Amino acid sequence: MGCFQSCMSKDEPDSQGPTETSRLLPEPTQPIPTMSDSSKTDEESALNRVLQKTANDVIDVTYIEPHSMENAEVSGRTREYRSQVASLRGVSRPVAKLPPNNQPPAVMLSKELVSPADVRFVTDRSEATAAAVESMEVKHGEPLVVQFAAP
Amino acid sequence: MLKPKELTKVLEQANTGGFQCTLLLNPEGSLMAFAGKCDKKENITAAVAANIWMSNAKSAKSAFQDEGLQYIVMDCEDGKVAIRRVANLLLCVYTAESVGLGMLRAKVEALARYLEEPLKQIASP
Repeated sequence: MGCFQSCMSKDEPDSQGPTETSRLLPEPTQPIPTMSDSSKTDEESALNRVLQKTANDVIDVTYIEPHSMENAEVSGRTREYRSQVASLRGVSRPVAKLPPNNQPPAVMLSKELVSPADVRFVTDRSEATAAAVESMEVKHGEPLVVQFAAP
Repeated sequence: MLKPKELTKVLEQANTGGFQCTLLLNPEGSLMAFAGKCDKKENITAAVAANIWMSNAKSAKSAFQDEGLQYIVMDCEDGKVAIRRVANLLLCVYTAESVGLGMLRAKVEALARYLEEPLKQIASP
């Protein structure tokens, strides 16, 4: 009955929706374009642009050649470095924060000693700083490595 | 296999108090992971750091004989950079100028201690 019904409804204009004989792909409205010479040239120029950009962006760290410079470049750099060092000689150095060391030893040694409280304070602070640095650690979250179960 | 999100979270923990960016890269210059506000391109930073490491590693081999190069610290004009070997990878950190060298080293050591074991598991076949 199902086969008889499908034959009967084949030419009915009232049948709605796709049937078993309707086309799956739509009718091609335009012809399939073939590649012309101009499009080939465009593709080649686009490829060349991509290659050029890649060559400019790539940083090759594995290629390290022996360090060699021309003599003219070496002498030029030497001159430049010497002039920079010479310009730094005129720069005033920072003022020393420690007391001047131009007094006789007898005078220096007869001065008042550092108080024990200050010594204890400095010792405690330095020990606390060392302990704080030692206790610096990464907060543990989920494990970093995932093991895949072998079959 | 490494979990990339967890790895990024671990690297992110270092980026406080003047620390700007933390990167994990291989000696060839490929960037494995990074965390932080990196103004410049991270892959370029990784490549330059790896190049600096490789340039110094050869001469360090003859200088240090047994150990080889473990650490590079650079005090630059605009900040500081530290590169440390972890398993078979490199940990690179760069900070602002205000960060002290002691704090820089302490944080890098803490990170390296934590990452050493997991990265060794990945490195070993």
